[in-house]
Amino acid sequence: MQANREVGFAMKGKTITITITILLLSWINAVLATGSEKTQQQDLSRANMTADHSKFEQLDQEFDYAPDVTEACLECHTEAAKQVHKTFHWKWAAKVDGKMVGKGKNGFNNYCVAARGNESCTQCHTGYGWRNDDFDQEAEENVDCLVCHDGTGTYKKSAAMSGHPYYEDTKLGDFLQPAVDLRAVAQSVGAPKRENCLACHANGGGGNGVKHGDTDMSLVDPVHSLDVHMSPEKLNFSCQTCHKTSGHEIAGRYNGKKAFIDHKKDMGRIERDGKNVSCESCHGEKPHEIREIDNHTSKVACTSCHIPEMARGPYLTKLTWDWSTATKLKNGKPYSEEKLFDGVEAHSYMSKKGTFTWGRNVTPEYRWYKGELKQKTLQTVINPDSAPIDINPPTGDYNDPDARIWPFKVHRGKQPYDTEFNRILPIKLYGKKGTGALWTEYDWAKALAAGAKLNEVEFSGQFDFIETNGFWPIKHMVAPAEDAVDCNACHSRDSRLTGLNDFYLIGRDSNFWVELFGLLAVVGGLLGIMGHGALRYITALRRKKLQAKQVQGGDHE
Amino acid sequence: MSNKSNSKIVVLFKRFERFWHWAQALMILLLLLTGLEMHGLFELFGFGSAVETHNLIGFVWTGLVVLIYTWILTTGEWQQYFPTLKGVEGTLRFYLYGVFKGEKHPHHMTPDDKFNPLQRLGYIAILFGLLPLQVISGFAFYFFPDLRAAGVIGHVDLIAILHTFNAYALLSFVVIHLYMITFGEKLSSHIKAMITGKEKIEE
Repeated sequence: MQANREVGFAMKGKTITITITILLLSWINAVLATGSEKTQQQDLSRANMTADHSKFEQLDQEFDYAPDVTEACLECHTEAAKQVHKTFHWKWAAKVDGKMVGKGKNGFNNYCVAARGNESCTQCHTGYGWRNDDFDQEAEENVDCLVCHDGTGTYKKSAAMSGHPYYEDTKLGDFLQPAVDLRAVAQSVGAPKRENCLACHANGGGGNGVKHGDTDMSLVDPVHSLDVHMSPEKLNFSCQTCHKTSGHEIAGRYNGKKAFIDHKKDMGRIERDGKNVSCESCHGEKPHEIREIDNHTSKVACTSCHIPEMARGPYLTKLTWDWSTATKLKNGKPYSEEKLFDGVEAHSYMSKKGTFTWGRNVTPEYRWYKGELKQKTLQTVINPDSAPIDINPPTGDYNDPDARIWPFKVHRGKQPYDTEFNRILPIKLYGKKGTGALWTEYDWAKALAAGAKLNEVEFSGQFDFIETNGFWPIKHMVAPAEDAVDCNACHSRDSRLTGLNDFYLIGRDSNFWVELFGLLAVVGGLLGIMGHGALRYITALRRKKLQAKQVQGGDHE
Repeated sequence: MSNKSNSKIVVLFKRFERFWHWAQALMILLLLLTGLEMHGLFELFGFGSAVETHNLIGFVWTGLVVLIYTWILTTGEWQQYFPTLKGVEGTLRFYLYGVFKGEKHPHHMTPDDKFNPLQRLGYIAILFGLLPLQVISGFAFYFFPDLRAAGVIGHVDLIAILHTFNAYALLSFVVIHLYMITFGEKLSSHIKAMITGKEKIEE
């Protein structure tokens, strides 16, 4: 994590340079290619703003408390906090099948399992002070405007302070996090930049690239081969180019909301609830001009071919996480080990967290998917015999017209569960001595009991570890067309689609009896004619000899 | 061994017949190569090129098959394919026994009766059975996405299995066919006849 911070810091300097370059390039581009649709910049949206926030008196103040900034924002943006309160960014949960599901309630994953009870996780909440269940979800001043709208790149939320920024210079390991200058940050606000979104979305799960597999800090400035849409070399899309926003509602998949709802071009953005954008929204459903390739689009998602590997940038993504090995101590002290994974050094073991593996340029796994994941909750009773347990399996199959074969990162975990109640157990990770926190006391029984209590789940006291799969749909990091997945990556005996067996796939599948017939008919035929030919040759030779003998015999007479 | 005055040279295979035979031979060879590559048995052209080539040749071949049928039906050549069981036993006996004893082929080849009874049965099965089945299943294969969209058929597996089965049957035929051309008066007689059209027959 230290390395991530340093990278983040280095990026800030780089970002300014990039921003200037982008602006310059965009200008040149605009001058050279007037009318070209290629210029959709994020930073021009800031340059084109009608308000310069550094000129507002309300923001020109010595703020010493971030919620005061929010109150200043709300003086003009009267509806903003109310809007944010309705969003998933704020609620961290949504009602699915009559039940609240999400980070905020009931949901779990196979990273740190549950956010609730672990205030360090709430540093990524778009609010201030989600320390425990007493957090006031209705208070408007608790909305953190700055984490998304900061334009300085200096605004960081503190894990120790439940999402408040660092009000004082703070030593984080070897790194000194300077106190935030709230005036400068408040005066810099504008439309969210990539860095704002990625601060949380790239670093969730404990560090850069840990969670998604297709969303890491490399998207701040990707080369064209890494992401054709976001690379400044060409299209230079911002996050919001696809994740359309309106009244703080942002298009995207989350619990209770599908990732995409149609497979056609221009389905009427305005009418559609949620305004989610799919590849097809812009490219249409048959964009290839080659019939054989277009034929795929009714069953295969664009991403399956056009994102050939995950994590193609410089950063690793986490592939496995085994909690069962955590809490080992050396001389009574926690320790960590590092290893090289695909050329990049990363933790392979931490006493706090257990054993990890990581990867770069990882081949995705493929599943049917129609934009929704069936999230299990802390109340779901699991069958330990059917491990690994799919935490949030995608839905759909071949016969479902809405489903497509879609690439996934499958994060494989091994995490604690209650062997009596057969339910996944949340862990109290972060906290002071006496709270039972695993990262302080290194005692599983205590940490699970505390976690269960904070998440309002029953705990029998009996636990073990069980293998689980977490599904992460892959959709970012679209590669240039020439890097698309080869035909035989799927259409071959050694197919990427091994395991998706509810349809016949040319090149991969065959019928046993037909193959047997083919073998007998062709190889049998070959052997037959060889035998027949050999016999013809031998008998002809013999006849010739016999003839010659007879002729010889005749001569003698 | 034979008296030259007893034999004469006749045109057994007409110009168009020779053309369709060789054109079809080439196309079937390419279809087999590309098709079996698509079936995952080996890599040769690359899957994408194999698909493109296979589809293109498939359509051209369909056109040729229509021409072949028209020719066979309008020239009366269909009579050559009219099946008969008479002589089947004798022909079989020759291939399984007589040929090893140096016997002569029991079938007397003439321009009006150029196929032996086994060939009649074989060719009618190939030309009017396997080939049209392969063309039709090929079309179903090609238009499968449209058929599926129209709700006619949900899965491609039966089409694929039939097409593959047929392909193996045709490949097996090609193997045996290539061997059978060595049964002429000389090893090269039959292939020569299919190139020049001319064969020496006994009167």
